[in-house]
Amino acid sequence: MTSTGWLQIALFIALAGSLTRPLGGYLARVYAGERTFLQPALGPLENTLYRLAGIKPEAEQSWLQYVVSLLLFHVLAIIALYSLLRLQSVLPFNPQDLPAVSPDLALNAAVSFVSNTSWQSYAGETTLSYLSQMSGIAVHSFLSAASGMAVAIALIRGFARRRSSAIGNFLVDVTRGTLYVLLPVSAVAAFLLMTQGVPETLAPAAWATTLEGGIQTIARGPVATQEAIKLLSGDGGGFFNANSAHPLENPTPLTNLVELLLMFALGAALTNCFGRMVGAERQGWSLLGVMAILFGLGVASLYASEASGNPALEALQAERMTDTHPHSGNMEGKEVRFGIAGSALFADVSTASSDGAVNSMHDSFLPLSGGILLANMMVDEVIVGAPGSGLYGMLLFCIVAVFLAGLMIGRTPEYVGKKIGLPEVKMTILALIAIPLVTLGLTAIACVVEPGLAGLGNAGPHGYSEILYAYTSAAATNGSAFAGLNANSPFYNLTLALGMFVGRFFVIVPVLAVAGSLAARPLVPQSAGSLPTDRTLFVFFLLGVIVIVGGLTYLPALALGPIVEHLQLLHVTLY
Amino acid sequence: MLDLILVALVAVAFVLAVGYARFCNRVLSPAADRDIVK
Repeated sequence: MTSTGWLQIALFIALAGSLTRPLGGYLARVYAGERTFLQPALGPLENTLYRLAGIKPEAEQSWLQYVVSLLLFHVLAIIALYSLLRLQSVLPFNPQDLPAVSPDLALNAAVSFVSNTSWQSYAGETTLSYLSQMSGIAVHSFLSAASGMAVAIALIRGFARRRSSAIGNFLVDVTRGTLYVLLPVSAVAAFLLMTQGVPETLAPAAWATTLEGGIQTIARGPVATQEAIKLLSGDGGGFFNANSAHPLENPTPLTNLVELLLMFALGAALTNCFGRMVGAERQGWSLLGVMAILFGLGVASLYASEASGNPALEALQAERMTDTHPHSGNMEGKEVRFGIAGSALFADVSTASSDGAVNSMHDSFLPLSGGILLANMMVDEVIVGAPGSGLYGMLLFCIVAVFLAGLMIGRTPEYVGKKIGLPEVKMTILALIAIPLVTLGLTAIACVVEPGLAGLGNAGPHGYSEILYAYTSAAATNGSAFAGLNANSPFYNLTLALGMFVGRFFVIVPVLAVAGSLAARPLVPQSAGSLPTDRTLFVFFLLGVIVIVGGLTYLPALALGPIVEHLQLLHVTLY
Repeated sequence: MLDLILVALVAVAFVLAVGYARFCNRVLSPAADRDIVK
């Protein structure tokens, strides 16, 4: 570990923290329908879109109407993206003459991008036409992020409103999130990325003659515009197979920092937006505090683990350098330009934020580091998370926490002025159980059937970790890959698509049910017996609930993979 | 043919998700609303 490495991490945390309040205030104004500085430019466009779609922006929906609108919107989006990928060979903007995407892969990619997961069983530059990248992948990155934020806002309205039967209008929330938040930030970020050398062109790949006389194909395309929303949306699906490790997706230290900030910006700001909308900004800070502690522990452990080096190489004395730097750390699968700190920080931010972009290969991380990345995803995206899903995941844990606290002190649980009743707790448990159920269930099936084992790149606990990582990443809508698993087979394409669908929508449905139920309740005034949820005590209580619930659910699965592999590695047994 | 089967699968997933939402709505009905701790 070096002081420069720690400084890099500290700089990122400081910058990300400083964006939270201004962006949170802006989000609160956007979703309250208030005037913003972009209103004069985008207001006419917004109204035109409403007129064209026949939307009455003042007409709000009950939670059931909201969820049916959301599901219909997403199913139509899946079918539209699937059709586009299947027809890309006969559509324009295909300068490489790429063939149609195979049916199972097209379905996997369609569910992946519509569910804000961005799991990729393909290499972008050799599989997708420019039209598929622009009007398929990029468009759904916008829409899936806007949908996630809409669900979080609907849940916040549930807490903030009193005796209301409505939680907002889904299409209005998606439109405002896309127009006033995602588009402007992406436009600025894309311009910045272009100034740093990220290409934005419709020209075909370039060809260069190497020093040895060979011909090298240099893939390019409309990368910058897709790159910006890839990170801001929590989607993470790269234009190139190497994702943000590719020099044309992430060419400089400045782009690396911008990409890190984009991944955390909206997820962190939504906590402040929550505090403002429920009329107590401190409530938002306490949620961000829990996220910050979990993130800090993760990134510090990950950096320490990777910097400690590989015991197998140490045993061979293959990388001993000097007395003051006895080892160079684990550099396998990492870009030299980013180093260990830059790679560890990016990996932790990517798995915590549910974005899934990578600037190093997670399969090459040491076993304990792989376990940390898995744990980040296994706590239901609550460490900042993707736009929207991080906040609603955290609010579900808050409901569990106040429920447990209520049982301890013998009072009806309350949170931000709302009594938490039996229906809300039932819905919360349904939402929290969906992801582990699908992750562990599908992992177990893949570990015992021939098509599941056929995709493995390694044997033993590492192979098991590859399968566990794939389904965890899919169900948690993260989308990053462990890279060792060949997941482009009908078995993995279809089961991962199932995992992504359940992990996204079977969580959203009960979340919106909680929103509807809470919105109908009256606000109860704080009393001497109310549990203060904006204090340090609650922050650590909530932290304990997240760790215990996450730990109890997944510890056996982690023990069979990364933990066993780590113990074996100490005895120089490799897989 | 495979395309039609996969699109039908997506439609089935939609129906299941809507059914799940209706199930949640039944759980939330006023009769089911009881405070946990009296």
